Amino acid sequence: MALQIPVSSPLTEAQAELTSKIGSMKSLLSIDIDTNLNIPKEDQISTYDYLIKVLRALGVEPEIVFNLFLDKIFDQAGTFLEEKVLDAVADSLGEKGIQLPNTNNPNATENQKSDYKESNKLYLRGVVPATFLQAVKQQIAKNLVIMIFGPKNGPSESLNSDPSERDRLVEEAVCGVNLFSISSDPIVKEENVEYNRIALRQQLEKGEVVFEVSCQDVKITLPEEPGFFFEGGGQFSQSSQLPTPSQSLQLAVEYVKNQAQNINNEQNSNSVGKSFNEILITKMLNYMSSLLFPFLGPIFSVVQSTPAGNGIDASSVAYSNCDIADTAGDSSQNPVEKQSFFKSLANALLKELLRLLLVLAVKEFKRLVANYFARTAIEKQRRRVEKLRQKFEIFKGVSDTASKAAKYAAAAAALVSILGQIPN
Amino acid sequence: MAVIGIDPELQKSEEVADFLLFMLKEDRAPVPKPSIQQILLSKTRPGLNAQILISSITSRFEEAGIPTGPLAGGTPNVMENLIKVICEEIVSAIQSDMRIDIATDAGAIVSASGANAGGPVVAVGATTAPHTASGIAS
Repeated sequence: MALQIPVSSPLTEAQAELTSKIGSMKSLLSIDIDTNLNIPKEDQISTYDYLIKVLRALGVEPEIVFNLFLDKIFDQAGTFLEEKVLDAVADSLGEKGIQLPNTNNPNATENQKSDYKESNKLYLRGVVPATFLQAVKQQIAKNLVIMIFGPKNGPSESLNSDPSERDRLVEEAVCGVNLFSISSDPIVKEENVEYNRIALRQQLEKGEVVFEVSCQDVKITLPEEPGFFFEGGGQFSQSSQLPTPSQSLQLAVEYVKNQAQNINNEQNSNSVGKSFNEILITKMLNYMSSLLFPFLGPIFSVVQSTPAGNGIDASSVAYSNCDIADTAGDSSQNPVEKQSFFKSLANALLKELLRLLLVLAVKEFKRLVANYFARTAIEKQRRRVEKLRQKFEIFKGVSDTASKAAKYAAAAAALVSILGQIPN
Repeated sequence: MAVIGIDPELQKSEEVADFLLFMLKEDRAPVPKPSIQQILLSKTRPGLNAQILISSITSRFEEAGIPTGPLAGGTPNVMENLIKVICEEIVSAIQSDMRIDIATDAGAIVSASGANAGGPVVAVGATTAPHTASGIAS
């Protein structure tokens, strides 16, 4: 085969410029148009997830907000939870077409229902004392611990002595898992939901609950005597002080963290504690309707005394989680009406959580921005001053309009010790 | 998938981002407007020079953790070459292609002096129409 010598064909500047410009234009055309510009609202990241993401980017762990949130909900001297419960009952009654005290209109239009809800809120706030849950918040927190950790019998008996109530709580916990999600909705198949429920039931009944925290499964069992969460003493609290319900739940978080430490290193146990805080909040929002159910008596004694509310009791407003889950896809079972109390309550609580997260994010962001601009301004000023100083050092005594030779001499003056006298 | 949805009024992640970006923009210190003296002194400025710009930028590579000079084994530092190309092209575009359009409002005070047969005349007035001008950046 004959020797082939490659032809050398160098391009001129114009030829090279054109071919490279064509190449870059083709490359730009091949880049996909940004499809993230118009993401529908329902497909966007949830506000909760986004705020957590922003806070973590700011270097702030949101645990402080979770604690504040728990404090607010379980505040034994406050009325925040009570007000939200009254509003949720008012919404649920309005959805049924009831306007307290006199109107019962099952065929109410959407606009009428909306008016009824607002009217019911005003009415209930006027007649039900806003302190009706204060004395039972401790028990609500105890029941929440049972719903999270189980078991039906054994250690949980010291938290709630009524076996039928413990059964109900465990059942509600199984049905209530993921009824309401504060995070962007995961894509989960129906059979997986069912499998998860069965697995959770087994875990709760046995009292060995597996939580997926920080991408690993952690199996948690309630202590032999979980009463110390609520009665003081134990390794995390001072025995002379009775913890508040919120502090008790934080003790439960500490307990999970401590359990995780047995199977992990210290660093991971901290992250488990942090993640479990989020799990606790999510579960609480899902279980709150069931947790409140036994304590709604004061509201319904008022409701039943009105002509429109005759025959209405807690079970016809705060539907069980199992009922809500089973009837969700069946329009003949009035799923909207059944979900109304849960939906109103969970969204009201979520709103408060988002408010706390947003306030913290704004505060921390303002601080970061202020520090950032101050730092960059100082840097800029420092560089400018340094340049001016160097220029002045070199050209002091020489005017701006001096000849080039004079400036050259001035600039080289600093090197006289090496170069010797520089002639003009 | 959750059975009960989040209230659409609480789905505000985009608005949160917009609000924080707004705060970032609002808290930015505005660039101060130069005084007339500073503007007049611009005549003494040396003008843009790509080589000085390149050396200023490369001298700060260390702040960003980027090595300067030839790399290990004598490999050319492509980052320096890239900065050279970018600076030269930008400075060239500013000096060759950039156009500065200026408009002055009507109402600029004008004073003039002259003379006619009756003797010296001094006039004071104001421009009655906006004027345009153009300039080049150097």
